[in-house]
Amino acid sequence: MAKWGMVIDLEKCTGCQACTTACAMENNTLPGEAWQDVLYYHEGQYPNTSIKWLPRPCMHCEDPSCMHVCPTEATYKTEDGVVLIDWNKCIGCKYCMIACPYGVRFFTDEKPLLEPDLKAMFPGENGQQWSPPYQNPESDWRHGVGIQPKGVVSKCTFCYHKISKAPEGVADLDEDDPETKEYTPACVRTCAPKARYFGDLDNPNSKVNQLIADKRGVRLLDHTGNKPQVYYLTGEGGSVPAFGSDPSQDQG
Amino acid sequence: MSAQVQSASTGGGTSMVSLLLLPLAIIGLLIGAYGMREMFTVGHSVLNTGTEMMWGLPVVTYAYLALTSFGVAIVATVGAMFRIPGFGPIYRRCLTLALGLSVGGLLALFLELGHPFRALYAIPLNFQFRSPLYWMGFFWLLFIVPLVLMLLKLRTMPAGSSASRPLEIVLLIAALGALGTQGLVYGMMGMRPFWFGATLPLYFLAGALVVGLALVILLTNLAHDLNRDKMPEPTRQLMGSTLPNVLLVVLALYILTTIGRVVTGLWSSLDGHQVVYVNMMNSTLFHLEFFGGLLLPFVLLALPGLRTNPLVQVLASLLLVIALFIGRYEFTIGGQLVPLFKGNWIPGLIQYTPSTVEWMLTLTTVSVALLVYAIAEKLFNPPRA
Repeated sequence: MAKWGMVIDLEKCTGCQACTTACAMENNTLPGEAWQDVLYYHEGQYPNTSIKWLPRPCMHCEDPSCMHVCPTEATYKTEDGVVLIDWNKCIGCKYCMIACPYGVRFFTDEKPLLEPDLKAMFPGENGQQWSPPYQNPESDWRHGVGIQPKGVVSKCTFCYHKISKAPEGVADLDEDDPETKEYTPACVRTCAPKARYFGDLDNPNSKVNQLIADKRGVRLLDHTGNKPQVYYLTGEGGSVPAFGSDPSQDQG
Repeated sequence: MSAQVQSASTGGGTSMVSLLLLPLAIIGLLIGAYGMREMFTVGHSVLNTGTEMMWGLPVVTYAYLALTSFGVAIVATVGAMFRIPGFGPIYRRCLTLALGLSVGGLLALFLELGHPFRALYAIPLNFQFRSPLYWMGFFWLLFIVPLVLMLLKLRTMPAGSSASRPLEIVLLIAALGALGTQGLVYGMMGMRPFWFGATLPLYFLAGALVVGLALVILLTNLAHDLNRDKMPEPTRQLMGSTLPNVLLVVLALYILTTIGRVVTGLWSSLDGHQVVYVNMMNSTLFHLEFFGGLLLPFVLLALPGLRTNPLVQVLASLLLVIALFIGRYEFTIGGQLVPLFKGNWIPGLIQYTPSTVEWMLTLTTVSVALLVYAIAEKLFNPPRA
């Protein structure tokens, strides 16, 4: 069984947000409900400042705190290493959102994160939070796939409706490989500068493993012990941002 | 005279609190329910909580009502278990209040959840032993069952009888367990430094004891129309010496703990920690809580001449009840003020002000707590001779 993971090369990422858009189209997320976000921040003091960015999906951690705190086991980890939410079990207590160090979970019952309020424009039908005219036909609430129902938490699934159908034993899901293209997550497939790689972290021959080893892949907030399965390649002397909460640090 | 004392000691129907509580609770419930009617039609979009501020005023309310419920029960049960003179006559009233507060707290939680009815079976049936919330629910249930059983028992036997000892022990363990696990719900969150810490259950215990003692003193005074002569002799002793003295000591500990937390928070440069305390220091709410709600009652209770005065006791207790609510608000909201990986989407701390509907939800649930207390007082009171 594969253990799916992602590598994001920050030296290649242009911050174009095509991944964010592809994710929103694939998963019919609401504005602001960015399962795959690109976070912009600035570093330094005027006049020596620079704008930077960080693409940030769910980290699908090896030891996810969101899963451990869920009182109903609605958040769970699949055998192939993906953290999912069973929308039939979620009670909307939002404890997982509290416990996630990466802020990648969303609760859309409340005020719209961004205007206009698409929930009001396309009212939900058949239990859906909202029902846009064009929808991905894939819907599987046990795996948190599709348009979420009301009263539950949502998050990135690594496009589980795609990757779960990938051929057994494949090392990487690459958009350039005709055999795996259809099983590749939307954000990976759409990335124009090819800054994203998706593959089996347990397979020593996978591209993701090679990149992590050769380019010293790092993980966000490793000290929390969650052990993300998303690795960043930061280049020579680069680092992932800490995202300090103090505005005077000029990070965000 | 003896009939009058018996009537007052059981929280009889002639006291000020009995006369006023029921209509006040009904009026509060009606206003609150009307004010939050939108929530039943358009859902949670009328709340100012969401993806950025996950736990807002509804969670503050439920956590506060739970804290007060456990606090009152712990104070009363310890008093009854150790046969402290004077606790007998007020034991039932305290437990009735604890029941009302727990019902109010559970209602607040129920109204806040995305799927409250699903929670009723999904939490107990999925056995998520690693979740602090699971254990808090477990202990809360374990708390309510013996609480009701004890109230039923007290209809036929006096407080402090040896036959009720096992139930008292279970009740005390459950109350401590529920309080401790509620502390762990926050204390285990290593990613939120404002909350994180193994000693948080002890901080919660100190707060619960303060508010528990304050409510017991408040209620006993009101139930006897602020008149010591209406109290049985042991209760008069209890109210004139034991309870205010214990409250003074516990309050001193709580104030010291609060100072310790604030000083550590301001000193520590840990990201996500110091900035919250600095923000707290700059808010009027904190100063109201600390100086008006904690230090002023401490001074009032520290002066021997004032400590035993029923009016002063009521004032000090009311201030403490309000201060602990503010403290719970600052604690719950403070832990979420630091945005986690939001970049320029949220450049500073998260801004949150409760909506009118959220305040109405608080009014509703507090009113329900008082209503349940007022009704349960009638139900569990034994028929008078």
